[in-house]
Amino acid sequence: MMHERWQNQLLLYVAGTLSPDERIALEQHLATCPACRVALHEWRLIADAVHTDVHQRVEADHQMPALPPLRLPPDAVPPDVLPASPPLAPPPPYRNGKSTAFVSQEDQTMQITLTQPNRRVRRNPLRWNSLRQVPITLAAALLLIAAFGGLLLFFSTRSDSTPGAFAPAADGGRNGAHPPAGDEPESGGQPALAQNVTATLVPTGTALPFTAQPARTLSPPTQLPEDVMLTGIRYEAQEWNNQGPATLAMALSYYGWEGDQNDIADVVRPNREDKSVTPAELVDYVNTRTGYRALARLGGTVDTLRTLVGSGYPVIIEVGFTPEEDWLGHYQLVMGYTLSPDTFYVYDSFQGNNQGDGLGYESWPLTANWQAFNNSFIVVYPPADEARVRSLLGPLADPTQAVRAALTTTQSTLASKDAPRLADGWLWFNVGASYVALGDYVNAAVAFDVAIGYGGLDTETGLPWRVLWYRFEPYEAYYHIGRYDDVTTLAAYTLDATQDVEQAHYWYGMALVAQGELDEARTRFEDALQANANYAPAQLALGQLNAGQPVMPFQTGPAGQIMVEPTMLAPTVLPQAVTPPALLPSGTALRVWPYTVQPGDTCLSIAFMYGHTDPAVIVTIQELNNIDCDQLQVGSTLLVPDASRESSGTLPTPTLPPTVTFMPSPTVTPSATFTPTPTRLATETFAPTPSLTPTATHTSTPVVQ
Amino acid sequence: MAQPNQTPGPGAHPPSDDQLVHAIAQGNSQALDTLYQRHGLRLLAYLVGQIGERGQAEEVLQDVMLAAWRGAANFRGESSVRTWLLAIARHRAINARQRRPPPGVALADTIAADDTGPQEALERQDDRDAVRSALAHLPPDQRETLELVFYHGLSGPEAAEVMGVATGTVKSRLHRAKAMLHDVLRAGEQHDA
Repeated sequence: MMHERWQNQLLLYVAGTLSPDERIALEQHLATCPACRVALHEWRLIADAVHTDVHQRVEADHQMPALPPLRLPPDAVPPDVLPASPPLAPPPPYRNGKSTAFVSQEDQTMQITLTQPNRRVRRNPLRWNSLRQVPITLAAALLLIAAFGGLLLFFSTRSDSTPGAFAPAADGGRNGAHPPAGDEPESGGQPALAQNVTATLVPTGTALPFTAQPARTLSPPTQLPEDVMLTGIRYEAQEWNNQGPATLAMALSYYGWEGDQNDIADVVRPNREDKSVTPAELVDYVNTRTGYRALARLGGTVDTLRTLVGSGYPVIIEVGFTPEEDWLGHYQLVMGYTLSPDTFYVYDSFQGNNQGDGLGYESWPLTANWQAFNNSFIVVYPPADEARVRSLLGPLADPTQAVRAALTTTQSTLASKDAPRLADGWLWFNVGASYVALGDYVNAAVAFDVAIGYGGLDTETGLPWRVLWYRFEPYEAYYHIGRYDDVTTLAAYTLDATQDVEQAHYWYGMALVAQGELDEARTRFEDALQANANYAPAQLALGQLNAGQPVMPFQTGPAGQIMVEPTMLAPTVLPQAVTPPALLPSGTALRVWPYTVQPGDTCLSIAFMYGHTDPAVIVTIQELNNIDCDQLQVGSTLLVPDASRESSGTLPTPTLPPTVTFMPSPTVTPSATFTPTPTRLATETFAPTPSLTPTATHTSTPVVQ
Repeated sequence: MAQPNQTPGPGAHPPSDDQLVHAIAQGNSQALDTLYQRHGLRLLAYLVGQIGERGQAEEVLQDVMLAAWRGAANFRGESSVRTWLLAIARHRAINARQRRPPPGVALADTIAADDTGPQEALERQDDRDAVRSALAHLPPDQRETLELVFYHGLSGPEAAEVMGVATGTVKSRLHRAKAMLHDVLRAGEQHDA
């Protein structure tokens, strides 16, 4: 039976024991088979449960599980000895504790601090006019106010703001030109901000409380070496924008892989103008194109790094990076550490590898840079080490747990009085990103409104303007709660500066589909494929569009992976393109499940499958889908209301700690243009500047982007 | 191809499992230790599952490594080292269980943290926990099959070899397990965010 063969493949796929060719064949099948996607998800649930279940047999209190020492009887003699074979290479130095190859490099230690670039010209700041379309009921709004203190009260009174409007904070930079440094004065005066920023971010020697929750701390095992350097990594200087592939190539070389950054880039960045590669794309490359395995997680800590590196696994971390003026996304390969001084050593495809010993970073600058990507990391390992790596990860082994840990840590940091004010933008951004990874789009949007709305992009206090070249969670959040204008605003902002971010095109296209603009959406998906011909979500969307099928968005899974299955896995808000049924109060967000009708289904049986107990839900289903339940079509998509929340449409309350106060601090906001006032936001409009082109200073910056 | 800035140093390529077993066969005890570090935890988890008690499982693990030490010369490389070790472990575990009178506690109870039935499991907040506790109610052979395939990463034929059954039996156990977990899985789909 044809389909049974696929069922068997699915299970092996989840177990990780399919060959690369079989994987590719299965993935192609999955794109067309909803039943298999459901089965896949079920196997994944089973596999997760099995992993946790087995692992907890040897785990004790989230400590590193200890393997008892091996006892070999002194008289043990192998009975049959084989003829001599080539001598075994000595084990890597990590097992010997102190490595004789390591030379103290304190005088050559380089540190990167997260400084706000002292910008002389503001490029094109984005003022995010948030909360104007959020369908928040009064009850939820009051709860938000209670949770966030005064700030949201302040925001929510501006309900008269013009939809779709947002204000640039200054006139400078409208035409996109970047005059040479120092020529053009800032409108509104030179911000005094840079000084403050650097001061608050200079490391004091105490790390941020990233390990706030005891249950989430991965304690280093007692046998962790004090001084580790992993050797045998083949250093690669990156080509233009190729930090992802180059860093991955280095990690793979440690295990003997003989490819290079171009082999990887040919697959993940076929268009060499593509601005960024996500960890998910790199992990996918390893798992489908090499004989090794990889996984990505959020929420890593310095303990995670020491545990993994100390056990012989180099770790790729995703970091923010400001080599000159502009912030960029970057990768580094952590390949060593010392406990005293508390330093990590990295191979950096742009900055170098310090003649093989690695560039040194103290914990605090490293984590500050790492924070910009929600402490995202990748481990590459041989397939035989799967269980070992998972045990080393401890509570981070489960991707959802890892995201929850990241979320908890970030929220604790926000609640802590010691958190630097300027890092708040990143912290809120990461809160939003974590919620997206958990599928909680409502809370995610709230957090992004704060992250992007409080400081804006490319303002003195806001996030760097390039953040949307590397992070796409805001699109996902706003899309899923129906704020399509906001999706297109963000996408347009990015595409203003560059056409080479496929995700911006993709989400623009998705928003257009939801608004019924199918032809323009098609163009957008094609543009996405121009930027990256291998970008699967755009391929899928285009395919669905051309086949007249519903175009379903992908979801970011908790490990950062792209889940191209349609939203069988989480409720979505009814897209606004569909006429809401009359029986719902207007402005209510309704969560629905798309379900493909199978032979033998009735509306009632389907409703019961989704947890409904009241047969009256049939009426809702008929209205929602504009159908007659007596004439249900097999193969059609039925939207089933979600039964797990109140059908009145009350949105869940955000779970952020109520102690977080978010009043703008007068000492930190120096610029008059920043202070939000109702009139400003109500009247200023944004004029897109499609003629924005990179300038001489921009393109002459060598190598790094 | 890349132009390496430096040549890989010694130990650049960790030895494969097959190489390790080869070295063990020649009396290289360091290779045995390396093999132990790689697989020990996994084997221990498996043994705890089979035997039910950590202390005894640790002792049996030592026996397993001793058997590997002695039997390395006979390892032909027809199966993977992982399969070989698990098969040894299973054999030793069965012997251990027979040597010792049964503790009077069913294996599932030893492992399961709670004894709620599948119905109660449906109402749990965290559906991953629900699937996990539902696992405890599966028959031991189904549970073991799931573990070998999803945790230890064995293929169908490899799992069949370890358990001493036909490959078809492995497949049917897996599908039966999934069917038995059906209710809990469906609840998981609804609540999964």
